[in-house]
Amino acid sequence: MKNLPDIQRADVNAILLTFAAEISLEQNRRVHHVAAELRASHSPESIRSNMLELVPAYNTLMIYYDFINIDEQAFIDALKQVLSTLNEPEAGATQGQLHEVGVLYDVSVGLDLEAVAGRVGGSIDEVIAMHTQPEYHVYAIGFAPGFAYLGDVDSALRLPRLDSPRQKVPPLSVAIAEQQTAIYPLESPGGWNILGRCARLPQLQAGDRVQFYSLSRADYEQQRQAGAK
Amino acid sequence: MSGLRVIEPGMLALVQDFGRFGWLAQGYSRGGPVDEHAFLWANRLLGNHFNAAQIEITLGGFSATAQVAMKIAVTGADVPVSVNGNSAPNWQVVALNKGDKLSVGYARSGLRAYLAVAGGWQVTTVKGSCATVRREQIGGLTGQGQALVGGDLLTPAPDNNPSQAVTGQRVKPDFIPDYTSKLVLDVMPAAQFQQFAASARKIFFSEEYQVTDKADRMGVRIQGPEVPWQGAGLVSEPLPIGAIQVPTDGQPIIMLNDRQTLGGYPKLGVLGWAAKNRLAQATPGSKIQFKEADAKPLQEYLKQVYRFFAVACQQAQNLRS
Repeated sequence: MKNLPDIQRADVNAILLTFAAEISLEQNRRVHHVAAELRASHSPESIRSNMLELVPAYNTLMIYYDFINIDEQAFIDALKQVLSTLNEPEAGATQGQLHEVGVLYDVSVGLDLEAVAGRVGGSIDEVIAMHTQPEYHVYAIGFAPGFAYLGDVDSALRLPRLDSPRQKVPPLSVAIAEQQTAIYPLESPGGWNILGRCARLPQLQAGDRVQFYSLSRADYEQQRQAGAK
Repeated sequence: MSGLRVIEPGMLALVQDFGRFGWLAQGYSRGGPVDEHAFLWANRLLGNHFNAAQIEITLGGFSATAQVAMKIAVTGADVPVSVNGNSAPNWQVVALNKGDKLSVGYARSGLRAYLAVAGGWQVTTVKGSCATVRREQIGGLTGQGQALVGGDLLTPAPDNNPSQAVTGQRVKPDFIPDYTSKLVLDVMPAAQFQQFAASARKIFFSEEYQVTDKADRMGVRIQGPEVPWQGAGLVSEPLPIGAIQVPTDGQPIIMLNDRQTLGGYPKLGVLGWAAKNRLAQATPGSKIQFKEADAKPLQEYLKQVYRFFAVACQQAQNLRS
């Protein structure tokens, strides 16, 4: 890699790689590329046997390592060695798994659907078209188990968070905030704009891809029942 | 099946093993004992594996009946322990006979007590651990993140090491913390430390702070002179346990074991291991003085601690070769 990420101690047993200061698909691809390469079977033994856990985020990668077994400096040196020999991820390469996720976009479950349409100056159908058009990238998983930060939302559909967050967002709600969209895995408080609800929770990994599509009420119920079995 | 039948759980009693490791990338926090020191001593006293499950009792008010004979130990907060109304020692192996009633009263100092049994409590694991994280609805007796309730039954796992758990065996008083002493907490500078103004860092390390009542297993909010942050907003990044986050109001939040996996506030650094354990025992109103500490001695110290307690680091499943 030409532009090596910044390497800093994050804890007595953790190193944080920082790739760039801003959110971008390109930097996030580098994060997941490095994570995949560190995990790969050709990665050096000193890395593979001592790496305990990898936590990718937007532009950072946390690496917990076995600090009892390997000295911090030795681990950092091994990391630098790997990073310096890595190639950049191929431009536009999409290695992550594609998940097609059906969503019931309806005011009965899309609690903010009407308001969102009003704010972007379009119809509900136009909002659905805008939300289902892009193939989203899973930037990171965090905040709560299985909560995937997806992006990027069509620039015409970008809205700030609600002024006052909801105490309880129903599970499986599909929502947007700024350039991000997500599915709430569990009931939780939340301030994102809710467009609809999906029938089941896809098992997403950072780096995966998501394509939303619109479900009829009947198909939504059918998927829900199939998922409940 | 028989074991220890809970009569009253008290304010909060949670099943905890050493934690759920390897799931941060899926958004699961570690959970586990917020005071590792007290937890590891309880398992060591009983000859248990370091990861053996215990009950973390917050404040006290816990009572239960032993349906079979068992050996237990209570460490952590200075709680009055009694068996059938007779006072029993803390930080020591205590034998319970069939039918004995165990009571753990309210803490005289400290906040969390650990109730361990020889062999460990036998609890089904979810994602490799029985650590209870209520916010994530995972772990505990049901696997769904619930705290213990009256009527719950905890079964001791077969004790593989019966010669180890000798009744009366105790922790040397030197190793038992005084939870009433002033908190002087070691902070290892990390993350955005350098990006805070020197004057802001000076405030944090020279002024006194106080634990507020906004404190739980996720984090502890402290109050005191404002720590200003002049930098730009951050992109959310992985958040270590013990991290000292500074939100916009300048009143720091120190993250504990149930913290969210990613956080977007600037961080001054991370508490050392002993400091985090000590904070986990601090009641609202406790005064804190922070002390800047070098990473190397903290690393070396924790290495020694983990070797002493035979703690083995756990590798995430997807990284095992």
